[in-house]
Amino acid sequence: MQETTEENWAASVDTDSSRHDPLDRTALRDQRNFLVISAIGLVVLVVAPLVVSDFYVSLLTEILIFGLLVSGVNLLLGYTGLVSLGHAAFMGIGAYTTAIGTSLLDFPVWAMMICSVLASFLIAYGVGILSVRTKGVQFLLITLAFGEMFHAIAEKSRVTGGDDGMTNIPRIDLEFLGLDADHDRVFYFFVLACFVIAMAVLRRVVVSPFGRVLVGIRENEKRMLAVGYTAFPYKALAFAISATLGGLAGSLWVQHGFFVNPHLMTWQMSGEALLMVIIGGSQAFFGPLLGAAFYVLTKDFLSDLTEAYLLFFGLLFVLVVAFFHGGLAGFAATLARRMRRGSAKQEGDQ
Amino acid sequence: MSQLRVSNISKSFGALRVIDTFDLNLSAGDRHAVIGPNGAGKTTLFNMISGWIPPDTGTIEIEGLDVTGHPPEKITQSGLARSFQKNTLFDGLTVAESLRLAVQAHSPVRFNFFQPARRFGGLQQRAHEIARQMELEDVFENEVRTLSYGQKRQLEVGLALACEPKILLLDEPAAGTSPAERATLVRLLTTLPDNMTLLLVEHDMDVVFGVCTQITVLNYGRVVASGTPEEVRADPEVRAAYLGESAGHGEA
Repeated sequence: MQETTEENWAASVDTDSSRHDPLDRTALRDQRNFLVISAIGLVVLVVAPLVVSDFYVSLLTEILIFGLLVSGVNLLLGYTGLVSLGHAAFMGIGAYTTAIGTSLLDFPVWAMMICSVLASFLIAYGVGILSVRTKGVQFLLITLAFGEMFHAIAEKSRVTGGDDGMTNIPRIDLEFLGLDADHDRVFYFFVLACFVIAMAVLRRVVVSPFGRVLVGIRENEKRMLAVGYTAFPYKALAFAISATLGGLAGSLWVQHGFFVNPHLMTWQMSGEALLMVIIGGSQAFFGPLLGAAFYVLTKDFLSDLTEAYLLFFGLLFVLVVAFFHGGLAGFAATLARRMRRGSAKQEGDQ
Repeated sequence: MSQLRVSNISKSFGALRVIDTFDLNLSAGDRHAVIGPNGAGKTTLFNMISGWIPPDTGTIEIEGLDVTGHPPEKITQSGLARSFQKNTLFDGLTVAESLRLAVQAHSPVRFNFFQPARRFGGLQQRAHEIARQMELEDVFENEVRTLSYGQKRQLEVGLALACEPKILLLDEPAAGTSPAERATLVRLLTTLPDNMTLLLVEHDMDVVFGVCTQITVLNYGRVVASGTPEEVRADPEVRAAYLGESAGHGEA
């Protein structure tokens, strides 16, 4: 009996005739919106560095790198409903893996980037297995503890220069393309390529059956158990995937600034990543990128004016949370809806 | 062969014995109700059978397989699905998304993390069938939080039904519903497949007598009476303890 149902499943799931079922309009509409927004975003991200000054190219690179970290955080916060205060540690693990491998062990940067991604994935999977059995405040505290532990290791480690960190870390060698990544614009496009690939993978994950399970866990974990899901492996894997984006971000971060120090992995950094998610909009796929842009640009703008930029940043944060439901992405969506309705009305009037 | 066999289970919370050596034996297609006043231990009984709390003593078997002490998700995978007395739904998702999740839990695609879920049309089709069966077709694409209370109760049953269970446990499906909503529920419950075993906890006697053919009456964790609705209604102990002396269609 059980086997026949399994077979029926395989049949109904694998046949081509059942693909693109016309009834799943929500998913199709969502996919169309995603493609349109991605295309527009990509044009902006390709054109912007060609028209702005060198300084802003550097800021744009930072936005993309934070965008990676924060999109990873959002897989947990926005999709799965888990608040982690330790994600900066995984950015640190990615950063230090690349730094140690390239400047101490003389491995090529591309190989160490792969190692950074793998290391952050594996370590995060281990941390995930230990932490996702807890919930709410407990989960927040256990991730905080793990994060601080890795931070402490980085601070105490003599090989990596302790609190001072490491300098003179090389960027990726793009000579086979006839390019020099030491030029900021070239490096920007390399980061953009990494960003696009990582976001394409993340997108596949969030719209997959697995991704839908994560959303179910966010909405009601108790019901997920009742309908037959074992929530634990899903949460552990989500934790690992989320941290892997942080690891990649860390690997790019050391190349961007040519240096790394333990400050990158403090819990304040983890907290700021959460702020970026919420400012940008946790329910939107590209919300975190908007949050990262807002964070990098206002931080730069405010720190020109005052030392106490965090105070103003906090105030802005309160304003965004109080008045923009769904963050900047939510605000943009509302605006787009109004404009569409407005233009539809105008056409109707004519 | 018995499909669900509950033998000799007991549960105490501190000094309070909530369920005292309870037995139940259901065959495929049975329609069985457990009734009793508030605090009789009905929900505790349900929580034990569906794996949410372990019994102190006794065993629970599904189709001859001992599932005593298994966690809820394992029990559901063994073919027993339940609904909740208090709505336990995915408020931020649509009816379609909710039902699809429940269907997906029992399909091999549930671990697929790299193909768009919308390609698995089978999930969507099955979700739509359940929605039609539970008369939720008109609100299929609506968010759960926008549904009426009665529709939410229907979705409660639908989510359990989407697990393709052999045994369906419904915890007060009619709790808090209006008479009209209750009538809809009774109609929906009477259309369940004949071979599906139904175990119902319910306060509303119209629902119990409208759906079930066997009734167990529970009071202070003990079985007071058991039998057909007629037998139970005629039982003097039940009339005293539960239905009230003037009972015909008595209210709890």
